Order: sequence, then C-alpha cells, then structure tokens
Amino acid sequence: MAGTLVEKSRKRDLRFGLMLTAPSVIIILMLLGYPMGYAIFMSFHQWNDKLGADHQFIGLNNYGQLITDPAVWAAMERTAYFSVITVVGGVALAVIIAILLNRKFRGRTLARVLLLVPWAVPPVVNGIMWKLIFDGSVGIVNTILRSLGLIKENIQWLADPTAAMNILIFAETWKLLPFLCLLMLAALQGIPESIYRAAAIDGADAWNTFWRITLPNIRGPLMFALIVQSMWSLKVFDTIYVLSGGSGGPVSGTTTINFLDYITTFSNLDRGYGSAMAVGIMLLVLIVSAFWIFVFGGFSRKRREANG
Amino acid sequence: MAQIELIHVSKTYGPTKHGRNAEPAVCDLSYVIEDGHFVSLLGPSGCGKSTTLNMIAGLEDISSGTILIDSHRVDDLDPDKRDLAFVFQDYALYPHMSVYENIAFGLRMRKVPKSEIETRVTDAARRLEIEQTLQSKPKKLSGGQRQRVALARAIARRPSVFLFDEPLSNLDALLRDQTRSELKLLHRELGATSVYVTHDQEEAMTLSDRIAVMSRGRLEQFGTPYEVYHEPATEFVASFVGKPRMNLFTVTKAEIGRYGLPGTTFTIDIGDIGMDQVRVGLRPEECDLHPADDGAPGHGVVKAVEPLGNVSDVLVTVGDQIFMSRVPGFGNYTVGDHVNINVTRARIHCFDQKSGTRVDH
Repeated sequence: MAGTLVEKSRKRDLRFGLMLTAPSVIIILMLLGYPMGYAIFMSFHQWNDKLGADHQFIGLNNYGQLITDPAVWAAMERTAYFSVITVVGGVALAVIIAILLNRKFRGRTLARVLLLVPWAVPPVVNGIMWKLIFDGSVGIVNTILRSLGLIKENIQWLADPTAAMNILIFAETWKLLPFLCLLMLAALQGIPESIYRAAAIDGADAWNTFWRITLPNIRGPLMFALIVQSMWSLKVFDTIYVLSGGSGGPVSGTTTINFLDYITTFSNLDRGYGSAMAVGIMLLVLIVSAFWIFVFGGFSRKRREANG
Repeated sequence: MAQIELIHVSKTYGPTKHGRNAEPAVCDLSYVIEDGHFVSLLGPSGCGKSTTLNMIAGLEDISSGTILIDSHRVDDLDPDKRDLAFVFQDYALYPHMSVYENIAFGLRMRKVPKSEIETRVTDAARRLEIEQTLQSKPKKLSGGQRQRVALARAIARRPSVFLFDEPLSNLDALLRDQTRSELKLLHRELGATSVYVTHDQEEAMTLSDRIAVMSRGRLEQFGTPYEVYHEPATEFVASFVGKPRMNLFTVTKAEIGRYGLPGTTFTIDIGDIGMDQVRVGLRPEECDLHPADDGAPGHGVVKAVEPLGNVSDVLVTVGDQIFMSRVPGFGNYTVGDHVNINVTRARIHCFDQKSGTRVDH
C-alpha cells in the first residue's frame, strides 16, 4: 500500500518536473536543435542556391571538399594564429591585470570600474572605433606616429593583410579582456588571504607564490576562461565584419574559418558546403574544449602522482 | 634558540576615510620574551595582540620602535628570514596541496635536501599522529586534523620561534582542552620560544611562562600567570583575568583604615592608603558567605544561585552593586536570603579610581 503511494507521488513529482522544464526544452529545441539538425541535413546535400532548387543527396562529398579546400586551410591557419594569441595571450594578460587589480592601491575601485568600459561597448561599435583609429587617412594612430616623427607618410594599416590581422587581434583582445579579467579577479578573491601569509612565512618568493600558490588555486576558473575564450575566438565574426567592411579582407587577410563559412554560405550561397563547414567548426570547438579539459585534468593527475 | 625583544614598538594604520589619524593599533610596547619561554599575548578582540604577533612575524610593518631577535634587528627582514613558524587561526593550509606537501612546502622553499624533507615531514606527522592523512587534501580533514597539520607544518620547519594566532579558537570545547594540553607538552619537548595570541585567559594561564595582557593597543601587564592573577597591575587586568570575574567596586573611607560601600553595612579593612575613595577588587572564590542573624538585614540579599556541581556562584545584591561569591558544593542559599560577606581570607586588590593602576596597601 505504502509502496504504491510513494510510487504515485514520485510519478507525480516527475510529471510536474517535466512540465516545468517543458517550455525551456521546447524553446531550446526550436532555436537550437532545429537549425542544427537542418544544417547537418543540408551538409549532406548539394545545396547551392545559385544552382537552383535541386538539392541532391551527395553523402560526405561536402566534407571531402572541406578537407581538400586550400581556402579552408588558409582560413584555418589564420584562425589558429588569431586564436592562439587571443586565447593564450588574452587569458595570460587577464591574469596579470587581475593580479594587479587585486592589490590594494589608491583608486582601485575606479580602476575596476574603468576595466569594464570596453565590455560595455557594443562589439560593432568597438569594431568601428578601431577602424577609425587605424584609418589610413584620418586615423589617430597615423597622426600620433607622424607627429612623433616615427613615420613620414600615412600607413594604410587596414590595407595590409598582416597588419589588418594584428589590428583585429588587438581590437578583439580589447573587447574580451574585461570579462576575462573579471573572471580571474573573482577567482583570485576566492583565495584566502591567510595562505599568502603562510607562504610568506614559508619563504616563497613572488615567483614561487605565483606558480605554486596562486595559479593552482585558480585552476578551475582558468580552465573555464580558456574554454570560453577558445570558443569565442574560433567563432569570431562581428569585429572582422566591421573592420574589413564585410569582406574578410584585405586579400582574405582577416578571413578566419568562421568568416569563411559566412562568405561561403551567404555570399557564395553554397549552403550545403557552408553547413558542412559549420559542422566542422562545431567539432573543432568541441575538440579544443576537450583539449583544455584534458590538459587541466592531466595536470592535476600528474600532480597527484608527484605527491604520491 | 631565540630571545625576542620589543623596544617601544608602535603601529599606526594610515589615516581613516574621514581623514583623521587612526588611534594607534599598538602603542609603545616594550618587553623581553626570554629564550625558550612560552608567552601569551592576552586581551579582548581589537586590543592589538594579533597586530603585535604579525609585527614579530614580519607580516606587518612596525610604525616605530625596534624588534630584536637574539639582539639582531629584524624590523626590515622579510618574514622568512626571521627563522620563525606561524600557526594561523584558520590554519592557512594550502588547499591544493596534500598534507605532505603542505608540511614540506616551507622546507622546499628553503632548499632543504629531499631526503631531509622526508625525514622531517614524517617525524612531524608522527608527533602529531597524522601519518594516515599525509596523502589527503586539507578539504578531506576534520577541523582537529587540520589544526594538527598546521602544527606539523610549523614543527617540521624546526624554527627558533613559534608564533600562534589563536590556534585553538576554531576547535570545539573538548578538542580545545585536549590540544591545549598537547601544545604544552610539545613546547616542553621542543623548547622553542613561543608567542601565543589568545583572548581566552584560561588558555593563557595554563600554557604560559609569562603573560602579556593588552588592552586598546597598550600593555597592561607583563608577568607570570601567578603575578597576573594575584597581583594584577591594573583594574583592567583584574577584571579580565579570572573566572568568574573579580568583584570590583568603589569604596569610601569610613573610619581609620576601614572603607565601606556607601549605603550598606559592608566594610573592609584596607589600612591607611591616604585616599578617600578607591576601587577594590575581590575574587569571588576568596569571599565567604554567612547567613545573617535572624531578622538582621546583613550585608546583602541573595539574588541568584548558579550551581556548577563542585561549586556554586552566588550573586548577592549589596546596595546597588552585584557581588559574586563562589561557595563550595551546591551551597545552602536560596534567593531572598540575607547574608553577610566575609573577606578575611581574601586578597584585597586596590586600584586608583582615575588611572586604574594598582595601589599597594
């Protein structure tokens, strides 16, 4: 008797729980599941809007093309360059800034507030801002360099593929730093003050304190920062769009893999191939995330073994 | 081995938000902690005892004065150059390291050879009976075990000075008493100079060779537990040390050599000290009670009886004062009884009304 009563109430709870989650599950399915499924579906078809409405099933052909396409590999190279610098450099810079902001100094609160300013700027505005600053004819950078006598003539920063890529990296780092800094600052504040005092008594110098006390204690947030920043860097779009005027140029200089996908899908209208590329990017993001988890997991395992 | 000497040590924190200069946290401390002594810094919270300890450790700068360890000035030395170990109130164990690594860290930083580290860590762990936990992270340990790890970390360093910042305050009562006894044994075994911060006068009394009683950043008394208890230098020391708290009240000269509590028949014999009024302190356990004669009002009326088993604390209303007496067993008193207070076997402590300093009589 009692058993069935418990069973009944458990079922009722389960039903109620499902009912509560249903709206969000449905929304997620509609907004995420459907487009994703549709993209995967398209990626197995010849689905180029310029070639008409005949969508032939071509199996893995799109994926095969993906692997052999030199444009893809060139874009991947640029993506790697962009991502390694923005992820590793960005997070490292964020840690350094967070450590500085975690020290006591006059005006610390103001500095912490100012740190957030770039984050409050909409990404497109951020892109436009840097585009104007590095503008070839009216940009402030040229003006400053000229008045300092460092250059004689204006440099067309955004007309040079390498320079444009580096400016892109700069603009993106500018935008992403506040969030990463905030994340790292919160992590640092979670470390009890007293263990630094213990480390001082134990004779750890600044270097040892950083590597042996600070860093291991922000491992979790650090991994999180690296993962989310990797995702964002691999999927960077808006700043490229604004800086290059929607072209990914000059001469594809700022065309990362995600931007190449955009051009393929929406300029070339090759939606089948574009979908395959999108699926590829998704896998790439998963692999990179898994890589970070592996690196940090392996790190902790090695430590355990070293201690044993 | 180390002797610690404080010479006119003061600490002032920077101006407050309102622009005023803050009161000194520690003011003009001068005393000598002898080699091998166990010295407690005792006082209520905010009295500057932890600040003093941190200054000895080098975790805080001193604003003026000098600290000598073995006659060497250490004010400008970094904490790790002062050859001392610190046991923190919250233990300050490194959360990401195993117990072994926690104990070994200070040795590693000092480039002690590996084999030596292992010997010292296992030795410290054995002394504190935490050998089974060496591979665990601090998170997995109970409060008492963490405490022991913190102690082991200090011991393994084999410093000439141990500094303790209220190390027992996070333990439950039973464990606290037990660890307190162990600390005493440990000190006897190691013989290193120890400075121990506490607000618990019982801890200070049981552990120390000397006690430095502090209040509002100032040293009230530096002396043996006996001196602090039986010859308190100030009214503050008298009221802070001893449980139950000493009876303290103002008496007025009544006749030659005798002083009385105004509005009552209670008088005590102090002798001629040439003062019209004086603060008097009497320890509850040194005051006896006697029932008043039938019908007589006596010195006062019993207000409450608090039996503790072996003794009972009896609160007596004398005039507008509450007087406490500790009587053996459960006592024979009930609320409303008229009683006389007998202080013939009590030490009478006198303090100047204004300055609070001891007046000898």
